[in-house]
Amino acid sequence: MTRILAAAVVVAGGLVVARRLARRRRAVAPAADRRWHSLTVYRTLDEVSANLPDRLRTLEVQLRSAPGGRGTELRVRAAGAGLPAGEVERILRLSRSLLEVGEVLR
Amino acid sequence: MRALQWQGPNQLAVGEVPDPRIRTRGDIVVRVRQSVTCGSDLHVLGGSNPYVEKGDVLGHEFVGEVVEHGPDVQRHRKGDRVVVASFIACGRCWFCSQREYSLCDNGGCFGFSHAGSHAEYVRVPFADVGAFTVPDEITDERALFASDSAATGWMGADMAGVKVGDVVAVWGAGAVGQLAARAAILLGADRVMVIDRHENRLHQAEKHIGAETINCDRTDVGAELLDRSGGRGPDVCLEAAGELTAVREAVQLCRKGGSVFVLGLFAGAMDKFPLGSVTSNGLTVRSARMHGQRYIPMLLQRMAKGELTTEHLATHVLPLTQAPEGYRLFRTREDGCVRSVFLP
Ligand SMILES: NC(=O)c1ccc[n+]([C@@H]2O[C@H](COP(=O)([O-])OP(=O)(O)OC[C@H]3O[C@@H](n4cnc5c(N)ncnc54)[C@H](O)[C@@H]3O)[C@@H](O)[C@H]2O)c1
Ligand SMILES: [Zn+2]
Ligand SMILES: [Zn+2]
Repeated sequence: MTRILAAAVVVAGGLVVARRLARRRRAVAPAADRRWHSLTVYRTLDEVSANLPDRLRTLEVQLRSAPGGRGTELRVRAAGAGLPAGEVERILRLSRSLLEVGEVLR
Repeated sequence: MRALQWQGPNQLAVGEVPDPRIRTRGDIVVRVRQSVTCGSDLHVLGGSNPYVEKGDVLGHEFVGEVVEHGPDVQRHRKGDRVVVASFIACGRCWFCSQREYSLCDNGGCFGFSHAGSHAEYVRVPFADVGAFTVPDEITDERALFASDSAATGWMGADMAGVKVGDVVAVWGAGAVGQLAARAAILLGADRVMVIDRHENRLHQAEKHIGAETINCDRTDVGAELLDRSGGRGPDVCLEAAGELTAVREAVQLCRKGGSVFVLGLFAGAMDKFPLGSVTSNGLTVRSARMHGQRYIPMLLQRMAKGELTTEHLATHVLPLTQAPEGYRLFRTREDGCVRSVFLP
């Protein structure tokens, strides 16, 4: 089930959809997550490092230029005891929206 | 305001919902003039779509008038008549930069992730990217279909690589299939054949689109396509039926080295995919949800010139209050219904 939903999020792309599905998934996903998660933001390394969203400040963050002019790879993991499953990815997606369009579509 | 809401599997009702308002800086609010049913809604009505929740407002193909705009909107002002792409795209992510708008990282879709257009008003995010001013000479009935079905059909023919002299087969004579066939003709195809089982739809494809037709209930589609393509098979096969059997046929009947484009929206897995045909015949198989923003300005120009007409598709025009009945007609194909158009 989780696999199908995760795929659906990728297919749908949209944040709102992701949020809806995450809401359904959260109820069954207790484990703390300390993995690194990556996502690519279509902004230069300079722009991303100068405008890092506040939500990322509580996390460990690594940045590097993505190949082929694709922007900046944003690599993140929860500090300390970790965060509930799905939360780091959610923060990453919100951060991408803030960096790319300046706000989060609702 | 009044809106058509999904209230559970195969349950639709017109109810009251809050008026939309500007929520982000690039939004506009549109007073809907016309909004139309789409084959994609049929996949949703039964309730299998995880994105649609009880109370959601359906509808994603519409034309309307701007009543309000956010502070960042440059291209639209109050009173403008606009047609809006069914997929919401930000215009600023990498996928948008590649003009693959339906893959947008920050987007969504009307009637699925965002409140739909079967309503008196609809909020349109990223309006500078997804809303397009309709030239005065184009009627609402025509402009309406640039939103989704004409853009989808054009994308299929374009991304499948239809060229001058091609033989093209299209599965499905709904609005999407007919407009895919029209796109293939305008792109220079030599023969375009539309396949369906509904005579009224095939008749439209002949009369209004200028395509040849094949009734799949009365003839052997494979034999017919081979015969009409000198034994080669169609160069391009466009699937616009939204049926697995049509996808299989398109793959199996395409000529060696040909191109198949799947426009039908499928969620999840498909069994018995004829992969052997893809490999041994060296086929290219592609699919996408529609990148409307890429095509709508060009489609509006062609509509204004009269190259692309769509009025015949609006077989049933009803007030929004009768939208549940409009969907019943559309779903059952009763009374020759091809599309139901709602007037809020
Ligand atoms: N890719 C996109 O972004 C996009 C956008 C809009 C619609 N769509 C999809 O396009 C498809 C067509 O949309 P529509 O509004 O025209 O739908 P529709 O339901 O009005 O028309 C589909 C037609 O296909 C015919 N059909 C069914 N099985 C067939 C078969 N085996 N062979 C030949 N014809 C067959 C039906 O008789 C019907 O006339 C739907 O699946 C819809 O979800 C995709
Ligand atoms: Zn549609
Ligand atoms: Zn985008």
